[in-house]
Amino acid sequence: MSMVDPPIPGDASPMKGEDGVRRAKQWLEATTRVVSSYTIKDPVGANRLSFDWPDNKHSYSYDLGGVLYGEPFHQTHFVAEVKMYETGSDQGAHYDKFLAQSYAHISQFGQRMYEHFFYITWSPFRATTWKEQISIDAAQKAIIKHADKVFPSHAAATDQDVLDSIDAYTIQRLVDSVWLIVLADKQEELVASVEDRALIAQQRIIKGD
Amino acid sequence: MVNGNLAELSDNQIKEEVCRQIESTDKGVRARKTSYFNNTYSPDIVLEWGGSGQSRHVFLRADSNPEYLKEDLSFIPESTSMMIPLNTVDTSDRDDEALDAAARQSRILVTPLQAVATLDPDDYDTPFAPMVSHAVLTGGRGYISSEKARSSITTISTGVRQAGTAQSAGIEEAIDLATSLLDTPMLNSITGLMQAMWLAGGGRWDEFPVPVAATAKIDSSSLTQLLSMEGFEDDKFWNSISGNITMEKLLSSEVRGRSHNLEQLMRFSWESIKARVCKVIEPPEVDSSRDDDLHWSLEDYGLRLDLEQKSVLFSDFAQADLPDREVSISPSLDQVRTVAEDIEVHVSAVNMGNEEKRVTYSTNTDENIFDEYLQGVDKTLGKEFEIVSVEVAKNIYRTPMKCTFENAIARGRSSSKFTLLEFASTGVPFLLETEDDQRKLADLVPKAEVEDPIDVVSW
Repeated sequence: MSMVDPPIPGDASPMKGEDGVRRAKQWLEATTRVVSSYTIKDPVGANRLSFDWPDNKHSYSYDLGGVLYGEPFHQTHFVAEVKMYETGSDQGAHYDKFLAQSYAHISQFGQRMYEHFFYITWSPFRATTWKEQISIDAAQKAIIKHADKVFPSHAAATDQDVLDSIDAYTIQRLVDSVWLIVLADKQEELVASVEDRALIAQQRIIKGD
Repeated sequence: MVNGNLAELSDNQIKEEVCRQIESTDKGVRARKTSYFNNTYSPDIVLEWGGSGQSRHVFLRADSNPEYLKEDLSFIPESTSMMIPLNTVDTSDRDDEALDAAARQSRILVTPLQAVATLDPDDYDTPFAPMVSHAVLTGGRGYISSEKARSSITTISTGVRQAGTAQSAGIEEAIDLATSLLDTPMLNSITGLMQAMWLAGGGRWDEFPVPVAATAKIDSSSLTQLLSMEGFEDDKFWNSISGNITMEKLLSSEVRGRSHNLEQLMRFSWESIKARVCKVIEPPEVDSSRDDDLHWSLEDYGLRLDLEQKSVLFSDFAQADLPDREVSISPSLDQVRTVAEDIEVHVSAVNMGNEEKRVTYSTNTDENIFDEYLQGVDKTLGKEFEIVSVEVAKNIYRTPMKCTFENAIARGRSSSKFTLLEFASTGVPFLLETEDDQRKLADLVPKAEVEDPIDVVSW
């Protein structure tokens, strides 16, 4: 089966990145609220999680995607960027890219593809401005940093030109759709047991869900 | 294999393709999709085998990394699970062995979708391929690559074929491979089948190439295999195993409906299979598996023999539990006498009555019951009285069989059982109204004489 090589998740160590993606996938599924999921490394996931920036020269991707179960998220689709870092490191830069590419994604596709954008990390970053991480202001700053890819026709424009180009409705939808999730090793274990999850799955299968 | 590139298919389309491939590989399985896809803990597909109630959960894996597959084994239920990586697992020999060991320890079958396709029996020119494919899907464990899947079909089929001709070459290899692939119940089933075929093929018990349990027996699982196989025409074989088959074994198999091999088996089982009761019933209104060459079918209640217009059900169930497909007949005394004379059956009692009264006229000698006194009783009672039942036997020394007309049932006293041949040659003809059905029954029943009396019945 021929596959185009997907972009490697943007981590320092691809193996550690892959491990993080796998653990994030397992944790999400352990909440029992994820019915379907796939990763950028999967043959089924690569096409679904890789996109071109509006400049059509560069591409971006998410690490993980899938479908949620149960109201109020029932049958809605999510993507996730996963950073299994032990320190804040350069996560701020990665998070800005995540916000900018998610803005570009909503601009291009609306939310007919993905409705939730998860940023999953094992280490908080920008701790002093943590509460402002999900805000229009943070999103605007991130988009300005990646303006050459988001608004290629304004490549040499000023920050104000970029701000003027940002669609208010789209950026609000972005802010409403971003989830910032911090995981910890022990937290990964504090989920329903394998036996309980099997019971829940069995009930859903019997119900035909 | 999956039609099209996985990357271009939706979750649902991928599951449909997998279901299609599994159902092609084992015609007896129903594959049902769940809402899950590639979930670490929950199955994508549930496999169900009719009759036995056996099921297996399929966990698809989009990532075929052998290390991840090994880790995932700890997240899914043991024994009843099957893990299907969608892509070929890229393993070295060492990875193969490690994955196989982990999967066997968990009693889980790990087999890539490509290997499931390799198990498709349509690609092999052996009647035993469907049996091996079924065995792997229901009782397989460990890691089975495409190469191993192909080898399992050819090696085990060869062993079974060799056993059928009592040739030892290939049998040990087949059992060794089956031992590494299958769980204990399925291994015993395959081994038992090979032993039975070895004996049927003229082999001596103590010369079977592999040390085995004390007796070769056809259990419900190996019987399922046998009856589910493509038509296997070997009179010697079927004749040889027919003595091992009982109604209980037939009903405990997973087979329901008709099969070519059931038809073969029944040709030789008229005198070995016994039933407690026999009932003439209406055939099923909808019978999708109708085949003019196949007359026998297995129902949950027993064995059904289809004639021209009616069917005959042979069963061990209590009369009250039999299906409500009632046939009611009311023969005249002359009709009863004609049938008795035609099939040379001794009638020992005639029970006549209406809603209020009953009259029984009986004899305990071999004299003809249809004498002038019985005729007189019949005339005196008039048309309000019907023939309710008769007791019949091939001769007065044999256990009598009571034929009751209002529900078309033939049975013995208390819990006595009769062979199918005894039912068909003694009681059933009284319960069939049309010549077509009687002729059809006569055509199907073997022409051999019923054995001489063995039990002296005291009256």
